[in-house]
Amino acid sequence: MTKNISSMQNEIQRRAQQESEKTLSEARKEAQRIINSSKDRSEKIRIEKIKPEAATMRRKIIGSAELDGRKSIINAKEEILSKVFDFTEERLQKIAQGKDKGVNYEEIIFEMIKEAASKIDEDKLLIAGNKTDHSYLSSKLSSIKQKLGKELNRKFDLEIIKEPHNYTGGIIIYNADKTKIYNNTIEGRLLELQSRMRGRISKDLFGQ
Amino acid sequence: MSIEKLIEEERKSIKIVEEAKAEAEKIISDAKKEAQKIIDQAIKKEYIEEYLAKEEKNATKDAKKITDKYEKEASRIKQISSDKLQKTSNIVLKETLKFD
Repeated sequence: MTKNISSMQNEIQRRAQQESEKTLSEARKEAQRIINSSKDRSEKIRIEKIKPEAATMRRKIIGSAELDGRKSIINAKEEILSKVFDFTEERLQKIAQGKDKGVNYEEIIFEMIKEAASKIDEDKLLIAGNKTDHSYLSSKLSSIKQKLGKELNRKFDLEIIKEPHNYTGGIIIYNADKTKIYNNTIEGRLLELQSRMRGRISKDLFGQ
Repeated sequence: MSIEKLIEEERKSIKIVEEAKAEAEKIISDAKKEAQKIIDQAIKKEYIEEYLAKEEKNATKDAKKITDKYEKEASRIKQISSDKLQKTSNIVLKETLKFD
């Protein structure tokens, strides 16, 4: 009888132990599930709310760097293009000053007059030049007129404008009442060329 | 006397189980508190700011790489040889003095 009681006592203890262990084990599992679920939820919040904001911010920062970078490339190319045109202008100045012996500036002046006369398409023309060209044109007006008439097969009345203009070289031609004007100065030609040839020069220099 | 022992044992056993249940409830209650903390942190201003600051730092680092790459390229462009400058100027000069 005592043995039976002892055995029953042990059984009661074993069951109590087993039940409490089961209860605790289930509680630990549930606790882990709750924690995991909250982690998933917080990640979802991050994905839905914070990450888009971070992505927008990133796009802005990266986009701005890309934009500034492209600007710096454009500026570098512009700097080189300006260098080319400035260097060419210096060479043209030397030509206009007669310092480049390889180029006949007087022939260039004549071609400039011829081109302008042809475009204005009137008999009476007023020619303006800088101080140096003004003297040359005044002294050679008669022969220029003759040569021009011969080459364009037309009789011209040329007149030099008394006040010399202030530019590197070349000429400006007007019709008699100054309603038509043809700017054939070196600066004018170079400027026109800069806009016309910028793409081609850029391609030659930078390959795109 | 033996029956009393058994009753006493049964009483102890009920107490053990109840204690285990109480502990289990505490485990779950603590887990719920911890879970709420995790959620709270995710929506907490400081956390968001900290996260965004970290992301900003990373983006700025990547932006620096981009800027460096472009600066290197710009610097290469500016290193034009005098020969190339002369050749291109010759083209411009020729075109400037070309007449119709």
